[in-house]
Amino acid sequence: MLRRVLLSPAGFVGLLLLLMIVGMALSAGYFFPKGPWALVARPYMWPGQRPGLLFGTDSLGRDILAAIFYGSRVSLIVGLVATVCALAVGITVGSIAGYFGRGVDAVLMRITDAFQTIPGFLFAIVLVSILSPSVTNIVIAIAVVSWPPVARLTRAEVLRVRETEYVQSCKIIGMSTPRIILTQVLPNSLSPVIVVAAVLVATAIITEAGLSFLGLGDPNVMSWGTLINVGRPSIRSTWFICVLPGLFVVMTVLALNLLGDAINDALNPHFRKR
Amino acid sequence: MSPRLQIDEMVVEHRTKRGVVHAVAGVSLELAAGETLGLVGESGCGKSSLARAIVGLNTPKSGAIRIDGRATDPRRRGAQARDIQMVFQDPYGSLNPRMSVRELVEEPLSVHRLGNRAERVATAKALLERVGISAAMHDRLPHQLSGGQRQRVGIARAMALEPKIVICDEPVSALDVSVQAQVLNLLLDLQKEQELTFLFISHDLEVVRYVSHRIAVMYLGVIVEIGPAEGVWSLPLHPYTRALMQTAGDAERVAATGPMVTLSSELPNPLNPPSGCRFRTRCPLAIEVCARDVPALEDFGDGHRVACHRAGEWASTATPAHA
Amino acid sequence: MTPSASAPKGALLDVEGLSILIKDKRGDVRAVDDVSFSVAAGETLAIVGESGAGKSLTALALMRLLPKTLGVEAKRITLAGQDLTSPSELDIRKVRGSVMAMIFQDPLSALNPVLTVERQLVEAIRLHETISRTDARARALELLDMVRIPAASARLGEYPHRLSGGMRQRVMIAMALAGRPKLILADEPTTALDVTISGQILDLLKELQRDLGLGMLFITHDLHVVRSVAHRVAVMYSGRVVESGSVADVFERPRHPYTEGLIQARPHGSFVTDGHRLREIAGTVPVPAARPPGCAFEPRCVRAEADCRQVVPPLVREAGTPRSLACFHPLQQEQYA
Repeated sequence: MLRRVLLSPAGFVGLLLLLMIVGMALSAGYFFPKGPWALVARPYMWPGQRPGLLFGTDSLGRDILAAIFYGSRVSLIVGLVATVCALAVGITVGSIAGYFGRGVDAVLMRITDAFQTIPGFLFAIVLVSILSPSVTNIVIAIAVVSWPPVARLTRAEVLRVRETEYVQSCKIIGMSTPRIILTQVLPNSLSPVIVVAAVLVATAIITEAGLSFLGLGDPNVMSWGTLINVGRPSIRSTWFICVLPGLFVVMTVLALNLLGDAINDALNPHFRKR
Repeated sequence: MSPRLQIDEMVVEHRTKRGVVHAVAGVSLELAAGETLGLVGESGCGKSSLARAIVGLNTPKSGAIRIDGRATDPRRRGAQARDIQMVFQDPYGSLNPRMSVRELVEEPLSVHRLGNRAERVATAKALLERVGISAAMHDRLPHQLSGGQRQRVGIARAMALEPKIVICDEPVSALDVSVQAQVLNLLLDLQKEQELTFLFISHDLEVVRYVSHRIAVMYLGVIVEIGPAEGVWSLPLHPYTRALMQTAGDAERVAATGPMVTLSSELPNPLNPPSGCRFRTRCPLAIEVCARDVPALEDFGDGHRVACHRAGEWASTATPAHA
Repeated sequence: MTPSASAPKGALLDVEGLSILIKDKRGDVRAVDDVSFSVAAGETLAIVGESGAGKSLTALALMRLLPKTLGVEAKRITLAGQDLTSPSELDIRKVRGSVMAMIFQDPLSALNPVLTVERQLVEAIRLHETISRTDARARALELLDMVRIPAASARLGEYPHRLSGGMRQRVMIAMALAGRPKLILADEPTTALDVTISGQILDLLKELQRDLGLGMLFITHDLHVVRSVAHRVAVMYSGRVVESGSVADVFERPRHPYTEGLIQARPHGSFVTDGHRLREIAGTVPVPAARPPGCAFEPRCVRAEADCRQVVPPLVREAGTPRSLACFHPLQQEQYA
């Protein structure tokens, strides 16, 4: 499985980029011991204007490279935690709705519909505005808007697997329903969900950056979105303050999408040849 | 002595968008210990619905299942799981693709907490050896096996709980001819060793005749003919049974024992089965009474029972034709 | 109609040395290996074999409907006097439908689900004949009558999924007949159907063949079906023809151990009263890539000797008989006397 992901060009490039971002997140403290908030030089210095400040400084004279390094931590953590929460809720709702069907299914799917009718990003803005902008609340907001597609996908797969003869054969040997769902249905339903998870992390990172850009980010942490927000007023002159972190957002999202595609291909070798 | 498996007036309904289908419309059967009852019929005749109800996958609308005289609760499948098991048709779909062969056979034992882990592994290995899966294959995944090997694993899994009754639902239809013989021989050997009772469902008359003590023929949810295998084979009395045998390549034997029955039309809409005899719309021998009265199963001797108003006309004159 | 046992002169379809290659980096694998046969007008040749025998591939290769990953090689293919050994796309389009037509196992996937029976039939007719829509519709009705679809004019407006399995297969046959072909390739046309329906379809095919003088290449795994429809039979095993001849002759006196094993493996009689076990053929059909160097059946064969392991036995016409056989140690005729 891992080998097949690595062997595809998309998977290789995606994993390489992602490892680079993770490396940045891990090594931020080593390269920039003073932290992302330290004022290191005069504001608005262009990239390369002074040796040692590769990406220049922002409106307060903070090192943009340091901010990007530290920002990768926030982006990755927000992306991962929000996705894990969305998966937990989505898989639970989807598998219960799909396996039990009928009334349970109808109720759960109507709830899911209700969440899906509101555009995700707007919903996240509303939630964060109500809850106050902190990392925890941002994670909650992103998770709340991302679980419905997971639930729908899981339900569709569970509906398929539920009818297979191997699930029926487990009923015949007297296996309990929870055990059937956990050991038979879910392991055979989750491959497409894994693919979606990679894309969900990417979406979460964009949402977080978007929220921060609008000033709804956590003021106590330095994220890529925060940096973009800082650079916004002077975007016509010192555009690099926005563009540089923006490039990293794009790169991370691209890496995750490539990886998602590669995993998808590895899980469904039949479709690869088309 | 009470029969090993007794099914009493079983009714199974399926709700569809266009109405309620009586897939099984009042079927009663009795199977003795060590006996094989072959169940024959076309798709849509209700044989699979009946099988699924017996193993607890469908909840019957009414009717009772008794094992050795004890009534079973169709809603509690765990309790009867150890007595009734099933061998599926599709050796590709009936094994979890993510579990090894040994795990698949071990699973029923662990569900019922039989023995400790080491004992379960040993039992699973012994079962696999018994069905002819060598030790080298025990750690393989189902997709690494051939169809015949997969079906053997399915049989080992069904045997793990030492059931008294095994429902064989088209167990060889999906297999190559040269492999069918291997699987049939295995099933018959296991039956002899463990005095198993088989309900053997198949559309293949020759296979059914080969394995069965008795044969039952099902049409649109009801049993139309049932009796000793050789009796039904050599003197098929119900027009539907005769039609089945005629199309299966035994036209000469059918011709020698009474009227030929050639079916022109297809199965009527099961949502709205014909009045009287359910087969009358396809039966070239149907007369007035067939539309009015539902024929009851009538005994023609030796337990050979037929539900046809006219069967008596040729039953008395014809002599069994042995093939 | 007397079954013609030998391949008649001036056969409708003549295939010599047909191979189908699965292209692979580590070397091509022959899924079908050097197969020869012929079909005369008014004759049915059944190709019988188990899964992996290459029988369906053979039919698809004749229609040139194989995916690009498979290569076709042949010494000679002639169809109704026309050389089709290495046909151009245009050649094939000219004969497909009008000289030879194919009936598939699953009519639901072979028919277009969003078009009515009429649209599909009229389209198929007008592909081969320049006639008006009204005339084509009349011809469509005539075709449905020919395949014994009751109330044909009412069926014209139906969509394929609204028809029963048997009706669909009849429509499929009508489509195949639309271009007035001389040869029908039938690939397991009754396998997906119930016994009573499959009997009706087989009878229909037999009648049509007799009335229209069609040649038919009938592909099946079912020995019963072979007996009921075919004049001659070619038994395939792992991509090769191992025995061929007239149906009666081959089934009564099989000489290849595989043919004999196949016939013996089918139940006949009752275990319950006779207690006789079925004769098994041990093991399974090898995949083409793992085919042994000599006779493909050798690892499963009780009669195999050293020479079977080294050389592939060639398919040889037996002197003075219509039988061809690819076996070094065949069963003797007298063993069946």
